[in-house]
Parts: sequence; structure tokens; C-alpha cells
Amino acid sequence: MAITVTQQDPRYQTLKKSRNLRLPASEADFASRIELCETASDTAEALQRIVSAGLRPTVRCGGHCYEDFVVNNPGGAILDFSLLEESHSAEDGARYRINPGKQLGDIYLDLYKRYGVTIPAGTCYSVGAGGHISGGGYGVLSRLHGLTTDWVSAVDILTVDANGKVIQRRVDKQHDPDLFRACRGAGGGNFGVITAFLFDKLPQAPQEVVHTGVSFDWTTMTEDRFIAILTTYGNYWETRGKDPDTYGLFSIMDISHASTKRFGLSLQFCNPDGTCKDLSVVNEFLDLFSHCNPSPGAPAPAGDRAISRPALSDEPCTGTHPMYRRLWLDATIGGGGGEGSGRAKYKSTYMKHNFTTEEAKCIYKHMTSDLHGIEMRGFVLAVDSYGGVINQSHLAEETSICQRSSIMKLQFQSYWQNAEDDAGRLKWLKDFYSDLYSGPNVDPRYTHTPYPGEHYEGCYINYPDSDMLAYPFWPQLYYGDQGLYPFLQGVKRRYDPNNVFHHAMSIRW
Amino acid sequence: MKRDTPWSRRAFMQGIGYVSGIGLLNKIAPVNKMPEAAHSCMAPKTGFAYVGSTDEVGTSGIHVFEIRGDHWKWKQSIPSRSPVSLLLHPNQQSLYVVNEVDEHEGLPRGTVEAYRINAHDGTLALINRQPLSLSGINPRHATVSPDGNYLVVAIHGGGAYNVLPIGPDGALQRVSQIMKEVGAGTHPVYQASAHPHTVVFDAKGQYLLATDAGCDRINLFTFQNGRMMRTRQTLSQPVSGPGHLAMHPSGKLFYVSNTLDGSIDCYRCSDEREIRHEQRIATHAKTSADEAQHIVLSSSGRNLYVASDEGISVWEIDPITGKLSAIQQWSMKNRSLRTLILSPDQEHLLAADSSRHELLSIPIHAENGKLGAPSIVANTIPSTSLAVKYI
Repeated sequence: MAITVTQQDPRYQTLKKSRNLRLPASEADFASRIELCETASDTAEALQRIVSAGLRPTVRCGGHCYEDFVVNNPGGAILDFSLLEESHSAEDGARYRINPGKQLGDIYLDLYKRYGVTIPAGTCYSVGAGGHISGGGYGVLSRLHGLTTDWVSAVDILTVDANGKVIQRRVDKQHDPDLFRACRGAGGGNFGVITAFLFDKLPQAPQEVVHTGVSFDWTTMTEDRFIAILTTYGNYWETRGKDPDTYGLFSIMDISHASTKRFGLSLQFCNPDGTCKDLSVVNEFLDLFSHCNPSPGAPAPAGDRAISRPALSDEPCTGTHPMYRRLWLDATIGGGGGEGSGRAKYKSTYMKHNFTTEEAKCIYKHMTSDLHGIEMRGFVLAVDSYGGVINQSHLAEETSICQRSSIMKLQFQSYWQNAEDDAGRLKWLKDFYSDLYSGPNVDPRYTHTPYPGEHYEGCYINYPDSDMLAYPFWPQLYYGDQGLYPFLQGVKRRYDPNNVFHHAMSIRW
Repeated sequence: MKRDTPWSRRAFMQGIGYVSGIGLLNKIAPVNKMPEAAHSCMAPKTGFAYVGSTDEVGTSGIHVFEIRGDHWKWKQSIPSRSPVSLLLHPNQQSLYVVNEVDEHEGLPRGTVEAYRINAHDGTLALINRQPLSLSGINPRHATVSPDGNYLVVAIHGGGAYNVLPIGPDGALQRVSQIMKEVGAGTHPVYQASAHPHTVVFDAKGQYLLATDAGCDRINLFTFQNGRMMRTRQTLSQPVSGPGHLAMHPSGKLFYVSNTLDGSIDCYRCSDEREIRHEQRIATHAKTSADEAQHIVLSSSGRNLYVASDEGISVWEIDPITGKLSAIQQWSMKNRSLRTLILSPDQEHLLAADSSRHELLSIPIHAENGKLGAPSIVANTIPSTSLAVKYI
């Protein structure tokens, strides 16, 4: 039996919350109970109980959802997987099994210590596997090894049939292949409750990596230099970054507001063989910025996701650019991350080409403008490198991640503490995003959005943004306009005909 | 996806007109006329009528008429998205509107609206609009508890019921309970999931009866302290699609018109809240999966009226068994009566003809429940819902 925490339980006030304190919008929107599931059978029993009682289930693994998809469940029940135990079965065979309630940091430790392998997943230690993998799951090894969901071989999932009965399924390419594909990238909370991901094989974890970065001074920055920095960065990923020897290079350029004084980029690198014997790729990359007046070392990360910073024990590398060699496992789990809570809002864009001058000017304008009464620190535009092994076109058909042509992925982030700042913060980010996608690259029919086309590939469902609901074409922003969304609607009708699993941006049937 | 369309007062006024007299209908409707004396000595009824309508291009609103006997005078029109069901608060001071929409503020959910009724001229003023629960799309029907404290909405598209408390000023408060339904029937298109169609309180407000067209089911819910609890479920004939439901004044019988086969079912509800099927009537009416034949019970419990494209059939109810016997087929060619209610004084049926865009008043013979000659009381754009109060 799951552990049921109701409103009378002293644990309720703690467990009802999201990490993002902005959510839900109203106290009355919180779920009425939390079901802490320790096993898959607990989960099936709790889910059946919830459905039979006419309640709505939502599912929480790590609690990192960027919108209110889990915690906005008035009168409903949250299935919480944070206590879910590993339960290898004979049926698993030699497969690796990941339970969705497990945190990414624990998965890295477990897979490495047991098998020497890893998943190419995200940088925040405490992000839960369930939402991360079902929405794609990418991180600093993704240019080298692809998305985590690309490696999934089978999924254990509980669905609710037309008559309200909970059905346990193991889906893969031979069994319910349509549902299997939908579970690989369409995002959580759509079709059922995933209780395990299974992998026939996983990539070997690198032995070591180097970390480094450069930063730039906002106080002496000019628009021309900012444009040069941004287009230099983007040009690399559009050209040289497509060569396989660079796939082990992953970079995040964190463009914080000018009031933070500095912005810059951090990177992690390893050679395709998982060593750092040849650092010429990194040196070549950093040399590109020498004309932009850089300072060595990445600035302090502004958000809760970043490549971890060097530790005293790290080994400095010799060469032109200061960088540190680290054991991969230390580098991967050392930074932790994601434990904090506060108020936050996010947006995203897949980019197929380098920044245009107009785009760079727009970013400069917003990152150097002040807003009366609003503290500008905490606004960050993270420009992640992308592509590499991710961009295998056949994977767009095998998975539900259709974005397989992008070279960068943008994450617009805003972090703050006080509820009275909500309106100003949300408006600033929304205006910035709308302005950026009002230029000549944007089809007038889809203005204010990075609609999939020549320049953009839409948005990332694991960085959901409810502002996009204002556009009738929001599903195409996340799932493209080449047939994936109708496919997912068909899966939805077939496996969840009563729409038991739903949230603001779930697949509408 | 249904979206707001700009409501045009001019467009409405072009379509609306006032018509009195029954000349045209006398020719096409061979009905038993009421004895003139039965009504001529009585003062004309006065009150207000509220008509929800949606025209061919999706413009929708609520239209207020002042009633003076068979003369309805237009008073007001206000925009309202797809007002599929109108219902009065028991105190007659508020009107509630169910909006059959699938999106509100970008989210998949319908809405309900509360309007204050001006006691002097009957006009409406919006009190508030409340969104239904997430996924609560395309609601079709609602009921107000007899104590006036709660509105319960049957959400056809989203497969759920919502309970909304009603404030002292008639305002609708946010949804306080969501009852998610699951289920399916055997029709591959119309019964892939649950589709709650109609929900009705018993006279004491202690339980709710509800039909589910998606899974051929009659649901009985206990209602206590503003919360509904599943108590009993009864399956109807497969592929029948239970739709409109009318509760007998005795509280022991109820009647259901079915969407998919056009039949009428009679059920008995015991003191133990057990539901037993008593009778099935095949009406041969044209059926629509979107809408069942409207049914109305006389307050005496003697007669059931069933509206269809062919007209209105009048049925006598056996006081012991509850079974139906046909006593009149009131035919109307080229008409489509989609909305049918009983006038507050129980002396007329009021109907909306969605083909000719007319509102009809049809007298009921006090002795046998048969229908007399109708009057066209108003012309309007296509009407989907109707509520009337007398003063």
C-alpha cells in the first residue's frame, strides 16, 4: 500500500509543494492528498483507487516541472515516486532498469559504480528521471551520445482503459509500439504512469572531462562586441561543431542581465573515447573569442543548471587557456544543483542556425535595459550547444522528439523570491521573448514564437511555457507540424480514452 | 474549437421579430384547439423569458423577452458563448448559463456564468463567469440544488461533473469538487469515453440522478455537504446513449430519452436508491448523437411530453406502474423542436423551433394533458436553451 498523506497529516504542507514556489497560482489548486508509492504494485493499486473515486491523478518524480502540471490538481491526488524502490525482475534480463522516481545524480552514481555506463541526461542532481526521460532528457553528453530517450528500449507503464481499469503494460518496438514511441519524448502526464525505463545498452561513461569557460565584462560591453560574441558562438555550432571530433564539447553560454556585471560561457569536453588526451578542440573553440576581450573562467552560474565549477582538487591543464581536468563522475555529481526552491519561469527555443545580427541586437537591448521597480538579477538566457549525435533524422520517427536539426537550444530563465514581483517578472520575460521572435526570420502568421521552419524548430516540452497556450498552434511549437501531434492524439485516444491524465499542455484528443 | 465571435446587435435585430397569432400553424398542425373560454377570462401571464441562441456563423447570446400572455416583447440581448443550458435559481433572482465551449483562456475547459435578474424589467447583468475544471470541455447541462447553494454541471465533452458553490449574491464560486468519470460504450464513434449528459437533483437535494451517453449508464450520486458521492450505477440498453432525464414528482420514477436510438426509458428508483428499468418505448423519431429528444413531465405527474423533429408526443403515465401510453401525436411538419420546457404555471409547453427560429407557446389541456393550438410568441435566431419566470 502506498503511504497516503492527506490534508490532516503534518507532512502535507511540505509534500504538497512544487520546487517552483510560483506554482500553483492559488492555494485552492493544491492536490488534496499525496500517495507515496514504494513499488510498482503500490502505484497500480493507488492509481486504481484514485480513478475509481473519480479523482484526477498527477505524477511527481523530482518535482522540477516548470509549469503547474503536477501541483495544480484541486481535490485530486499526486502519485509521488520519490520513495519508489528498484525492482529488477527476471523479465528485465540483462537490461538496465531506471525507476522514474530516482534522481539523476543517484542514477549517475549507480550506473557508473555498477556498470561503468551512464545516461546522457541533465546537469541538475535532483531532477527526477520520470519527467526528464519521458520529455527527451538531454545534457552535457548529449552531443556525444544523443538524448536519454533515444536509448530507451522498453517502458513499463500503467494505463487506464476505457472502463477505468488500470492496465500494466511493458511497451517496446514490438508491443504497443505507438505508445512506446509516445513515451519517448512527448512529455510526462499524457498517457499513463511510467514505472520503469529499460535500456538494452547504454554508453560507457567518460573517464575524465575538462571544464573551463570564459567571461565578459558587461560594464565595458558594446553592442558590436556583444553581437560578435554571440555570432561567434553560434557560428561554431553551425559549422565546426557539426564535426564528430567536437561532439564531446558541450557549452552553455549564460547571458545574464547587465546588472550582474559579467556573463560568459562554461564548457565540458572529452574526446569521443572518454579521455582528455587531446584538447585541441577546446583550445580552438576558446581561441575564437580572443578578439572579444574575454576574461578566463566562466562566471558564476545564474540559474540552478550549469556545468559544475572547478574544485580545489581538480587538476589544472597546461596550455593557453586555463582549464581543469576532472574525473567524470566527480564532475557530474559534484555540482549538485536543483535543490533550491524559489519562484521561476522558463521559455525555450530550438535554433537551426546562428543568431542573426537583429536577434543579437534584440538580446543586447533587453539584457541592458532596466525595468522600473524590478530587480533585474535572476534573468538568464542560457544558450546551450546542441546537435551532434542528437541530429540523426531517423530518430524523429522512432521517438517523439522531432527536433533533429538544431544546433543550439535556448532556455530563457527568470528566478526570484517574492510573490509581489510575479507580474513584473513574467511580463519582462514574455515581452523579451515576443520581441525576439518578431523579426524578419519569423513568419507573420506565427509572430512572437519560434515556429518550426527555416530558422527555428519550436520549443522543448520539458521546458514548458504556458504563455504559448495563447497561440492556437501551440502544439506545433512543441511537436512540429509534420504529423507527430496527430499521431500523439491517436495514441492518447487509444490508451487514455477518458483523458484521465491531463494538464494544461497535455495532448488534447 | 469554439471561439468568441463578435456579437452584433444589428444582426440579431434583423433576425428577430414579433409575431402573434396562429394562422400559419393552424394550417400545418392538426391539433385539438383549447376551448377559448378556458383562457379568455384569465389575466395574461406576465414574466420574463430567457433564450439562449447560437446562429449559423457561431454568434451566440442570451435574449431577454418580457412576457404578456402570448405576446413576448424583446428587451435585451447580451453576448454569451454557446449558451446551451439556462437555469433559474430557486429564488428566481439569478440565471445560470452553461457555455458549451472547449477552451477558455487557452485552457481546455468550459465555463458557466451567473447573471443577476433585474426584478423590475427582467434584464440580466453578468455577476461572474467561472471556468470549469481542466479538461472539462463542452459542458451541456447543469442543475441547482433545491436550497440554492450549489450548481452541479454535467460535462459532456470532458467526462466529469463539477460542483460550484453559489454565494449569497448569486455569484458562482470556483469549482469545489471534480468528479471524473470513466467508461465507454460499444458505439465506436460516440461512446469511446464517458459523456455525462444530464444531471438532476431530487426534490430534497439529497441525491443526484445523471445520465451518461458515452457509457450507457444511469448514475446515482448521494449529495451531502456540497459533495457528490458515487452511490449506484445502472447500465441502460447497449448503444442507447442516455440523454435527457426527467424526474417524476413522486421521486420514485424517472424517464430518460436516449440519444442513439431515440427510445424513451422508464426507471423506478426505490427507497433504497436501487434503480430498476420498467419500460422502453421506441419512438421512431429521427435521432442525433448530439442531442436527445427533449422530455418534460407535467407537475401532476400524469403526462410526459417528448419533443422531436416530428412534433411532440404526449404520453399518459400509469400512476401505479409509471408506464407510458401514447395519447396524442402532435405533428408539426418542417419544424425541429430542440428545446422544450413547462411554463411556470404548468399551463403551457414552451418550445424553441430551431428550423424556423420561432418560439412557441402550446397550451396544455388541464383535464387530460393534451396539447392545444400553439402560438408563435416570438421570432429569434436559432435557439438552444430557454428559461422562463412569471411574476
